[in-house]
Amino acid sequence: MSKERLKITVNGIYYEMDVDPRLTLAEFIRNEIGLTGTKESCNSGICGACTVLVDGKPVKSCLVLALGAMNKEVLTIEGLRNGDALHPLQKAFLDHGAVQCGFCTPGMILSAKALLDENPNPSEEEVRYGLVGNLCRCGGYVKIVNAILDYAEKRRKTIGT
Amino acid sequence: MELEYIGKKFPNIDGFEKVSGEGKYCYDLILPNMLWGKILRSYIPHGRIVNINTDKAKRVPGVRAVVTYRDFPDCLCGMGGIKDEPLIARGKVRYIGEPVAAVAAEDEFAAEEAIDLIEVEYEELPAVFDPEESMGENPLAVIHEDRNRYGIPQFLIGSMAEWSKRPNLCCYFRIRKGDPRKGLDDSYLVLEDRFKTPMVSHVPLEPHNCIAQFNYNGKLTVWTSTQSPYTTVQQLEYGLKVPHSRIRVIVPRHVGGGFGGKIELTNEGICAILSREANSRPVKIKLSRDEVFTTTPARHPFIIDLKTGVKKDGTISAIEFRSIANTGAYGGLGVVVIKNTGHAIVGQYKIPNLKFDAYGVYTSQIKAGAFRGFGMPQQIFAIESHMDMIASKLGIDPVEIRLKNILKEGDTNAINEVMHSVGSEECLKEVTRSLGLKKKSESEGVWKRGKGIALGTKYSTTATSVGSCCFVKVYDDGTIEVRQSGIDLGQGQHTVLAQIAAEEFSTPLSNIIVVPVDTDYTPTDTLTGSQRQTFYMGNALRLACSDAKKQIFKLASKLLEADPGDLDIKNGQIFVKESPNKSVPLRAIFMEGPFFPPYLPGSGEILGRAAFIYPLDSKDIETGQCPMDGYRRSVAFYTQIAHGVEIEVNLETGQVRLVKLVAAIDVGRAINLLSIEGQSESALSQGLGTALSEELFLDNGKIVNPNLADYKIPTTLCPPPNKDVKTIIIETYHKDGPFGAKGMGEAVILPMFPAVANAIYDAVGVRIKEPPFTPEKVFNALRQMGK
Repeated sequence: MSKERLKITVNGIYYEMDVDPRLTLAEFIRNEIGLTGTKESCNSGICGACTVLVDGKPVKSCLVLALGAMNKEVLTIEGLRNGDALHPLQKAFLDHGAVQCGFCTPGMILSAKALLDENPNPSEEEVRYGLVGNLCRCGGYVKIVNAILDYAEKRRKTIGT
Repeated sequence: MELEYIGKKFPNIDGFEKVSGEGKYCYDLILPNMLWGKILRSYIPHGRIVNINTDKAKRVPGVRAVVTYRDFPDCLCGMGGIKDEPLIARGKVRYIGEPVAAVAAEDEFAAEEAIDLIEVEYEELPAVFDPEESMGENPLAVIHEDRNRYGIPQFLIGSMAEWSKRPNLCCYFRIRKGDPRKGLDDSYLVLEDRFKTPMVSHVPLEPHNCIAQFNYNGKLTVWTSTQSPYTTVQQLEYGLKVPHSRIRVIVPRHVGGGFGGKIELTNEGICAILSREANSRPVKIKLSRDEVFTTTPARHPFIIDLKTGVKKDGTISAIEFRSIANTGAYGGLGVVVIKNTGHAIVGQYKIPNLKFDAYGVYTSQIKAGAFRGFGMPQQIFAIESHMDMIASKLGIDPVEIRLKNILKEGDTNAINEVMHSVGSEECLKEVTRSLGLKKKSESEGVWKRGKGIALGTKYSTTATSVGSCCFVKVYDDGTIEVRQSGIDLGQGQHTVLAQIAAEEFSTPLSNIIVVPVDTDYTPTDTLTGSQRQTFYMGNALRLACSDAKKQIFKLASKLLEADPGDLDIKNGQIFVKESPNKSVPLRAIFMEGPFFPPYLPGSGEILGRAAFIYPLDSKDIETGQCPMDGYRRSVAFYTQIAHGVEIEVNLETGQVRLVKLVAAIDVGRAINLLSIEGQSESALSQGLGTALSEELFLDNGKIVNPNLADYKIPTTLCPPPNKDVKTIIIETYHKDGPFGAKGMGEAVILPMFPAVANAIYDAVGVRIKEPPFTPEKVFNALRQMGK
């Protein structure tokens, strides 16, 4: 199948690449530019392991063709940290023990970021609704929800909102 | 002695890689020149393969290899002791989803296209799905005509008479104790019920996947998402006729969940043959979510007929327990699951008279295998439901009847084991208190609330298991490198080992490295399963650390002019125990090398080495009893657990919601408080899913809900609010556990079925004997009750 030119920005880096038009955004991110932090698990938009932020909004990248993200800005889990310094949300997941097998973690963290960008002061119930599209099988959700609430509270204190 | 690193909270040592997205799972690996493999699977449940034509598939551009049984050695594998399964269907197919042919191509699209062009001609045979029908003397279909020639060991068959007359009987086990008939006759009350449990899937988020490369020199290298690297080596040796010394299995540091579903071989053997046929290029096969559901082993559905006789005060006088497990087309590890189910009963209660029979039956569907809890949740559902039903009939408190019957420290159980490290009573009391069981739930409107408790016990390993080996390398800078073959699939095994090594060397966790598993370099281990890693590998690691320290102290004794036995080490500083000021840094025993890092003039390296073998009794085949003159234990340890739940039932819709979850677990000694909580919450979530919604539905052997929309696992909205989920840790110090620890990752899931069933009864007075407790089932039960 003939390839088509994709123009896309991922984690601040601009790419112009010829891609197979059948490629999903998840496959492009993982296999073409090697950012395997974005996970694939169900490939049908249910588990949320492939969640990335496209122009700031959470998107299940297994449901979108790579060419569907033309001229968009994509943030993957790799783009969240600054060198050795984890994003405080990543740090909260780590410190709270919200990471077990870790396969849901990148999608979980990006969904949480999108939620908090929109609602910096969520209730526990709002966090649960915000993450309903991200499945975790081996950790349950207690520590994930706690990590997000704890980070949100600390951030409010720092920013003073 | 105060411990520095044991019994504390530590985030996972490999957590940074996971939250940053840096961590590589097997799923993430792409090798140079790698091909992609796909598998053609049987769409009929039982039939003979008449012909396979691969000509069209071979002509698809980009296809580099197409293989069928003709390319495989004619031999069978199977890890439970029964070798009944070929790597790829040979002669016959026995379930929908069985591999029949496979393709390796330059990309997945070409591989898929080629798969669709392979033509297979079958001669369909009658199939049998109902295990009771299948275990008859003249079943509709015989799944394995060659069964009697498989050389199945006697301990898996039990009574030869029973086995011989039932052609689809895969395995059979029994326990005989006292006189059950008389015990029942003498009982004040006898309850007799049938319980049925569903077929359940593990749903690890990382789908099973592997890469294989078969080199010209006969060396096979496999990268895989397994939780059992050495089992993979063994099974590949059986299936490919390649010596195990020529097989290398590499497990990347991270494995995305397993729950028992990644112990057996998946498609590593097919991948290997594809690689050989494709000029030794590496080939990767990753299963789709559909294939994970339809082709990897599921949790056994059980039919359990339970007869319990009690005295007037609730003391158990006799139990007759007969279970039939549908183990599917092949035996595999499922045989061991069935073999060990008796421990759910004998590890919990005092039973003076017991008749226990467990049948494992072949049918025409996917095989069943290990699943967190290893058959215990199904048995415990029946037993713990009965305890509540009996208590209710006798007008006794459900806690009291359990306290009356539970085994305690030093008691001899029904198979002659002497119980040790038994926390059932404390678990039960803590859960009862935390749940407020004595206080009746208050209900509002159509939601009726109720509370339920249940106990559980999970053994670890039996005499068929061997031990664990461990190497420890000590660097001059004080870094301790642990080489072992246990897998961290999210349960935190690496962190527990790091804590143990940190304790042994009195050095921070940041100085400990646990290297990824590679069977060329990391030593032999049984497997990561049976919640055995903390106990077995933890002990092996302690011994290996001791061995390393002995080597260090011997060298340092000359420098410190002290006896090696008088030395100790802390933060990389070797010192004399009696006068700690007399010390040298670890570096002092090393020499600078001209071309390489510091070394030891004598041995080159400090390499501690140890194996931990824990001897266990083999049980008598006819009676299941431990010998009187043996170790008086047939399992390594029992881990006790109690669950308490408060639920609410919607009288109009039958929906069940969890309000409060409490788990109390006897871990022997806690190593990592954070990961124990994590495992407990994990199991509460998984247990909640299996209790309320999870079930694989089959229609003539075809799984009809193989996706996450139709097979529902819990989301963030299912569990109760965080403040109402609680884990209570009980410590009973196992005499042979590392620092007293036992494993706990499986036990935590056990009593969820009966706890919820008992709570539903408390709430609305209906007794449901077939989980999951879906709205439909509860609604129908309520209607039958006239509610």
